Amino acid sequence: MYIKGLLILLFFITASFCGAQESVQNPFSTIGINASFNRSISIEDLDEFWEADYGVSVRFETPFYFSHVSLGLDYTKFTSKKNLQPDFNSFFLSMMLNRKLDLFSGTNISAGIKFGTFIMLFDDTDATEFESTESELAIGANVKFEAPILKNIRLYLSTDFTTVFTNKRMKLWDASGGIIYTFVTPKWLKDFLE
Amino acid sequence: MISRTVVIILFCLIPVCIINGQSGDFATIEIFTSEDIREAGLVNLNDITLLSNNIEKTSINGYSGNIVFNGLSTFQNQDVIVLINGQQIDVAFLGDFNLDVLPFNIDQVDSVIIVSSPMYYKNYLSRSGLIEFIIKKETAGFSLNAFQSIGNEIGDPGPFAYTPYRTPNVDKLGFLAGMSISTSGTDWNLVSNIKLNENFVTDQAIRPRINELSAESKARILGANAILSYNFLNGSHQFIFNFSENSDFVYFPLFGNEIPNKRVHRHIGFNGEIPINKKLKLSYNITNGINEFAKSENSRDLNFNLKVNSTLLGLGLAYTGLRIKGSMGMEYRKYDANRSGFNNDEQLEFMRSYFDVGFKVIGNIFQHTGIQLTKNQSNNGFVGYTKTIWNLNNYNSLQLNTAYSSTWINQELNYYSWAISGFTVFNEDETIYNPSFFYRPKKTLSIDLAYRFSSPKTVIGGNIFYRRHKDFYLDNTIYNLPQDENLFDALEGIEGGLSSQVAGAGLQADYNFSPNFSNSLSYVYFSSFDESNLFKDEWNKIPANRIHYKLMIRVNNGFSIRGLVRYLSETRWLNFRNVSVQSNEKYKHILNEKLLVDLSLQKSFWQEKVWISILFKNIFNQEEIYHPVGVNLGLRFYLQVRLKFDNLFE
Repeated sequence: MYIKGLLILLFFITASFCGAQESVQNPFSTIGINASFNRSISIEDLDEFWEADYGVSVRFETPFYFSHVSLGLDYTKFTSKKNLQPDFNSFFLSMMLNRKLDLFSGTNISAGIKFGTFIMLFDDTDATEFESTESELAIGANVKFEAPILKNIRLYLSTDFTTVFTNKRMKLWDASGGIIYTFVTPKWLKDFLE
Repeated sequence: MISRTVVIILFCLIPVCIINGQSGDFATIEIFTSEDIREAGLVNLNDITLLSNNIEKTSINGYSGNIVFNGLSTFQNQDVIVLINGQQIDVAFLGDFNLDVLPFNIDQVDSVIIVSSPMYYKNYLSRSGLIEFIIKKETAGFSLNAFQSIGNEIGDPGPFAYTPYRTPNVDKLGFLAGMSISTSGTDWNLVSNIKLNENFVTDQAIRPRINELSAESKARILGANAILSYNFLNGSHQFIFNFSENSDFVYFPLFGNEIPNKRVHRHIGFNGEIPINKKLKLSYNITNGINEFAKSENSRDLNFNLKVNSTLLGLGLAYTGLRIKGSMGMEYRKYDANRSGFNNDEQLEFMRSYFDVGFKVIGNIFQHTGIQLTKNQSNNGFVGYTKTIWNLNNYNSLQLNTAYSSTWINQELNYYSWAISGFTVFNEDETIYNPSFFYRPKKTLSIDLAYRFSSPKTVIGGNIFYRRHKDFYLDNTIYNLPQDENLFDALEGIEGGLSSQVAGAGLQADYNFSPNFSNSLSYVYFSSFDESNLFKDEWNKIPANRIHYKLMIRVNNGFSIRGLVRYLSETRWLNFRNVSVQSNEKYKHILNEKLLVDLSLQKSFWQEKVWISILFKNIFNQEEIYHPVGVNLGLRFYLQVRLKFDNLFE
């Protein structure tokens, strides 16, 4: 476990460093606004008590030295199956690093890791404000396929596997589809990001 | 098996690793800059001990705790000297060593200097180590800096709180915020800091004990300070004012549990240097401070009751010639202790004198020697050291440090320093020990030998150290956990006249693949050869093998990634072995070996006016416990934001 974990970490760091030599020229040159509808495929242990409804995501993406970086918010509503549990809304505020591989006819596929805070707001009228809000570290993996449809607009399909580090882990698997609108980063924003 | 594999892997890297060198004293002085601090993703002031390979730390609550410099003392003996810009601050109080009572955040530190062997440093001869903080100051205009850090430890119940899988809430940890302003004129500079730290008491290892006495669920530090530097009479002068109030739960070993407590720390001081001629400088130091453990409401009315007012007057003379430099000085120090509700004060007065000289012997051999005498009534404490640095050629250097110290109990300013004269500081009905061994000085001999190979890009270093302790006293408290209770029973005991010998060795190597890609590896081995079982038990609380591996990637000036791997071997705490059985292994007296991996990323924005750091500690969520009854830190995540606006209103 230790050695395997260490090797994975060293691999990612080394891969990141090697990548930095290739694409370091153009960080923050463009901004891509991603918007998608999400559908849960599996919620594992949560499935006994809740079902996940449709969700939406918004994400802002830009080239970042050895990869692309994005900040985003994924929203999903969980509806209780029983009276004992309240419904809750989840917001996954995350940062994602992903590497893209060009395929054919302007299409590409990317793989990335994302991490952030998974915020849960419970519809529990008996709980205090402090008790009805919960946040926890979450880490996920993402695979995405993009295809151009207009000059600045691309269609994408992606899937995410996310682990929320609650005491009993929440494991969430989603699929999503949406569009990306890309534009050149305004100078004032590029100056800020650099 | 794990440890053996890790040691083999890491040692295979040594031949290709090279260190960045330091000039002068390379073996006993470590300097860490604000860049090192930021890139390491340190969260609070106590974390600076993570920068040094020579310091080992224990902690019950995960932030404060006791430290040891390579066998110079035990965890029980906390008399490390702490300086802010050369001015001594009394941080350790009744055995509690919490650097976070200092009223500034880690972001406001320009550099940290760590001295890990007894030697002369800025008018002080440390016996057990020294830490100096140099505070940032801007040189022009008006500057504003702000810092905020929030952290979260994994393990909340989440939605499972509403299911049969419900578990206690872990909640967030370590909310830190701070701000500093600085401004300067032609001959002066003013820096002022404020800070607020909050830590939530949520870990199940400590929460039941604390909740048994107190309804409070968080520790809180609020502090402010001001530092005015000015040039006058051709010299440089400094005024420091510190104030902090710390509401915390202080673990008191003789009671065996945390005591809700409010600590008040105040300090005001002047120090400076005035040149007499080109070679002679006069230095002065005048300070006054208050340390207080004040009453805090709790269900059993358990309280410390001690306020210590300290006064210091010091005068020194420093000579810098072509071939020789030296310092000498005297200092008067008074500690006035009083208790709320009592009229009888207790006073301790010390007169300290020191002499230090450094000169070139022959060729490239440099010699430093110093002594310090501390007189209290009829007792004379002594510290003496010699340091020889031999630059064999442009690439190779050797350093030998030897030191001897003799210390009386009242110099240590711990619980017993006050208790021997019948001055109770905890409960009015506490048992006061006053055995004859308290009236003999503790003696320590230390020897450090270090070697360094250095080329413009390359250094490899190694060192060995030896300590001989004689006439020490140690607490021998045995802890028990009565059935169906949360608080421990402490069966107090103390033994004196103890002797001990410890020795160890270290290796350190860095390699810079390029200016933007570096790594470093260090290893420290530590072992005791003890005549006393109690001393042996005490050293078993320190890992015999410690390995640090750091990897740093600077993609550019504004973005860097740092990985840290730490290995600590098993430790044994035999005075908690009953608790281990009585708690059904909830508390373990043998702490397993640890392999911990931290990862931090830093990115600046807006021409370095905004810095954001993301830090993952213990990313493989291994058991991370530093004390048998302490918290298990696990995987945790910190987000730090720093704002830095310089040269405003120009």
